[in-house]
Amino acid sequence: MKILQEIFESQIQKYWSVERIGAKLIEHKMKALGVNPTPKQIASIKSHLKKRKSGTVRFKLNAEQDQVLLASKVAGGEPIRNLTIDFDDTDSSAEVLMHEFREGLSQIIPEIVVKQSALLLKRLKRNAPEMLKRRRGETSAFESRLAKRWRKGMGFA
Amino acid sequence: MPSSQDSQKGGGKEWDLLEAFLEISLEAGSDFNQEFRAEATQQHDHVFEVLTRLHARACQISSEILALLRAGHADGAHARWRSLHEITVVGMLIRSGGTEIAERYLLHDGIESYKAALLYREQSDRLGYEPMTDEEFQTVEARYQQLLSRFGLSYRREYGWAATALNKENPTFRDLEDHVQLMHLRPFYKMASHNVHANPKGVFFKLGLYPAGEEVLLAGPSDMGLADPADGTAISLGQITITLLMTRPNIDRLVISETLMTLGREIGETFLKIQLALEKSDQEMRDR
Repeated sequence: MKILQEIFESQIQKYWSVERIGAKLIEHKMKALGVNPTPKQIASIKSHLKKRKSGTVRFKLNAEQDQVLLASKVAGGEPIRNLTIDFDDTDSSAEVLMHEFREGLSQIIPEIVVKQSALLLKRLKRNAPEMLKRRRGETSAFESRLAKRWRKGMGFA
Repeated sequence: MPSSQDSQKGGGKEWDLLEAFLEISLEAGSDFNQEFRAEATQQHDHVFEVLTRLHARACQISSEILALLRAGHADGAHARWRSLHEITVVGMLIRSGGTEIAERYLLHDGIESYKAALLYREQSDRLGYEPMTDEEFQTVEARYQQLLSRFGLSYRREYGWAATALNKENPTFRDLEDHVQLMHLRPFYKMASHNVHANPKGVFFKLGLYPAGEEVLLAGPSDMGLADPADGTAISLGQITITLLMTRPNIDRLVISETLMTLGREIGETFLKIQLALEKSDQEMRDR
């Protein structure tokens, strides 16, 4: 009784992997700074995280991203030269992602259950004649034994 | 005998559905028991202990109901459904109350044994049975007193194990039903009770008699009245199975639960359709 659960858990693990979530968090932070990471850059972040390397992830920004950074100013009026993303315990990005994830789950689970249940019912009905034949065969064999053992008491012929 | 028409108006589909429902419930309970029995024993999981045992009993009663329905004993089947409903209500209460109420329920066996011992001592001579020795009785009585001092005087009542959970000195089955929100099944429970007790209603009212109140003494099987006990069985067996499975929910058990609910509805509708068709053709015969 855990075939579907195992499939579900493996899918969750795939979705909830360090590289996938880490890359999502970094993407989230970069977008907050006005920089949209390219698919190649995201792949590079994922690859770095997959290897479980600690420390800095380095990749080149393209011209458009450079422009965005140069155009932006920090509080002191200086343009941002290096994009630095820090995470600490008070960071709320992970919480936002977790919330999205939970929301997604609460929607997807009832859908999975209803769809799988319809399939299971169909399969059960298809297999029912065979299942019932086996069950009735067992019942019939039991009744024969019962009749034999209780013949005198019950007056079975 | 009332109408003797072919009870297979559903072409046998109704039996297949009900039997398949029983088989699925039985297998789900058996798999669940096998998967978690060792872990539950190790953790002294009283809820698991009670629910698996209640579920096995529910499957056994459902099997009895199926046999009675097949033989045309709607009233007998309905009387058995009454017990099935009681099991479901108790199971749902244990599930919601958790380990404390489950332990109280299990230990309540000591109260029932004491009451049975009292009765046996009173009647053994008349029955010509060997009397219970004083030593045997004292052991049972000591256990009884021990339980009362642990759980209080209200524990000696029939549903004393539920007294604390329901906050009632002397809870009744009605209180239990109310607590688990199954009060809507009470009219059926009362109707089924007529087939258990020797009250006047039970003498006059029979599910197997159609039209109701007909001046016929039903003294054997009938092909009428199977819909209520069949529908009730699907509902109650489904409820206790789902109650058990949802103590450890996962996707597979959710899917099985949903499947049981769908199949249960189909069983109710199928039996009702056959019942109505039988009543209609019976009426047509009378009108001729």
